[in-house]
Amino acid sequence: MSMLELPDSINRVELDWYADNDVIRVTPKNQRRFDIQKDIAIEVLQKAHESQRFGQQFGLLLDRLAQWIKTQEERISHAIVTLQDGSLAFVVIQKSGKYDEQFQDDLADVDLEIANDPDLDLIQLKTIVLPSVAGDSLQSFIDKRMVLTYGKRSRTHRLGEPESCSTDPSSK
Amino acid sequence: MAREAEHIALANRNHAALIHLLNDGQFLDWAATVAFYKAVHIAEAVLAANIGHHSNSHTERERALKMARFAPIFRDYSHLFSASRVARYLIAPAGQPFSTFADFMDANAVKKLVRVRLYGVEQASLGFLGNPSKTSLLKIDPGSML
Repeated sequence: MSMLELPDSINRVELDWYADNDVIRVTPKNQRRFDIQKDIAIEVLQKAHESQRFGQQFGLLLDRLAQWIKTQEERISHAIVTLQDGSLAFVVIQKSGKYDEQFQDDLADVDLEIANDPDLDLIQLKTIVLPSVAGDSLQSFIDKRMVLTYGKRSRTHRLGEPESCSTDPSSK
Repeated sequence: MAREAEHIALANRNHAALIHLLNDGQFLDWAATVAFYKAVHIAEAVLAANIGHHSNSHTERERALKMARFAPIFRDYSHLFSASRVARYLIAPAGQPFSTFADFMDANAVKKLVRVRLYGVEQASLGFLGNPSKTSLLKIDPGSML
């Protein structure tokens, strides 16, 4: 990744992984100064940077999924972004109770697009199509720790726009 | 960790069970599930032969199959995975559009799943397999599933 060019008024502090004996002295706002081993500081900062990038990519993913949902409005009852097996899962519930071959193809295509999009390189998403079901039938496919629904349940939200985010699916 | 030939042997075992279940016609949910597991072993054979990969979960396998070079396999595989997930995990009260697997897929739909999608996984995989695997893999005969 290229280094961002900063204005002259900003002092860049460089941490070099190969500077073996460096220790970082940090003076936080509360003045409780502490030292941190340079390698650990770099790892923490990398994680913070990745976390920031992940947040941006997650937002982009939600927009991308919302756009796709709009193109499939006639077929989709509602859709959920949740967690499954350590990755994000996009669970799409059809209006119909029957297998829809074309719909599965369309979902596989968007799945492949997302998986191979360099702008979404931190995102690991799996997609799941379900026939028309609700309530307890969905429990096997949803992780209560994250349930983000696109749907029609709220009058103030249209299909294709994130409706809500909750840690408790029973609140839906 | 199973190797290419071992996965092909397991795919063939699933193939035999699949033909038996399709001929019997009573357990179409299991036919769809066994069709998926045949695809799983073909996919694992492809991944073992080409990138030395062994999947510890369905998620890991999917991730590998979404690599651009394997995308044609993934596209058909996704149908089998979806059908098997519905067969294994989904049930709803009677009187709704979906209640059991039979509402989702009738006998013709299951046969088409095998004839088009499992066949598709097989055909898209052949180019990634070594010659012994290409020869020994039992293949779907689409003409027999009309």
